[in-house]
Amino acid sequence: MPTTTEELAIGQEIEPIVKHMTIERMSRPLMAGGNPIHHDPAFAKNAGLQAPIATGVMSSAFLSEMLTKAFGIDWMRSGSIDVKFIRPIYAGDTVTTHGRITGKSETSTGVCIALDMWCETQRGEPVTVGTARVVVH
Amino acid sequence: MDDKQPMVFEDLPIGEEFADKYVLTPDLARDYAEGIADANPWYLEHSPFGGPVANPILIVAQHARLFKTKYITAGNVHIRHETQFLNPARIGKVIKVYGKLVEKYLKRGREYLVMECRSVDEDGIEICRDRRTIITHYAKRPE
Repeated sequence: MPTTTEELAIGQEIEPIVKHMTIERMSRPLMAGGNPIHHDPAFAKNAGLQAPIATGVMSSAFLSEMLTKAFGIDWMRSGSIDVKFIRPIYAGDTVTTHGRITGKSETSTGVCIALDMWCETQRGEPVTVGTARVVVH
Repeated sequence: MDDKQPMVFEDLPIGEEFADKYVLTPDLARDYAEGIADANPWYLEHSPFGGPVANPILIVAQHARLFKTKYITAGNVHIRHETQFLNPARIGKVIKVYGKLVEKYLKRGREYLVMECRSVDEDGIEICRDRRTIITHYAKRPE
């Protein structure tokens, strides 16, 4: 259920999402976009990678899912994100999303919530980092 | 005849514009939902907006097609995007995608490109604005 602004406090973390990466999903044409770096082991190795990597926006989708669950329709019509893909995600990885509220301010149309967010793998390292804002009406 | 040429970093002009369009079909929505394992009924059946709407990141992901409208590319790695969501994209609509190359630079042996993009539906409703940064070839240039 979407969160009300009264329930939100700076420092609070929103509910995480956990995803298990598979080469089957990573290599689907809609995910890989015809880019062999996402499904071809030889191509990925020649590019200096240990294996095919997931397209970065898969992790953006995981973060967006977390934010949609927290903020509902407000996320879809007033959300903004700045996301950096800093480490590869491989098949077999478990990716967990995190979001922590860093700001809360009144606007003319609602309450603007700012968050730090990130994805990390079972290795305990962040793979995707960024910030988000959403105006909750 | 396909007139596309391989994408050569040095030859890319700043300010070059790109455009494409696609239909946001139910199959596209379902395929994406399966790919990211997010079967939110908003994307497949019905939503608070009336009828299904696209996963916002599905729209963002389609910006990657823009370079391919003019160039042969392989091995690009997406490293950053700054995106503002404005309106949900409704399943069944034609989505028009626009992009402009605004910056390119070399950093630590890799070629970076920055494109500003926007997606607009067939009714002129702006779905999102997006500034995306890619590395053209993940393998570094020879020293």
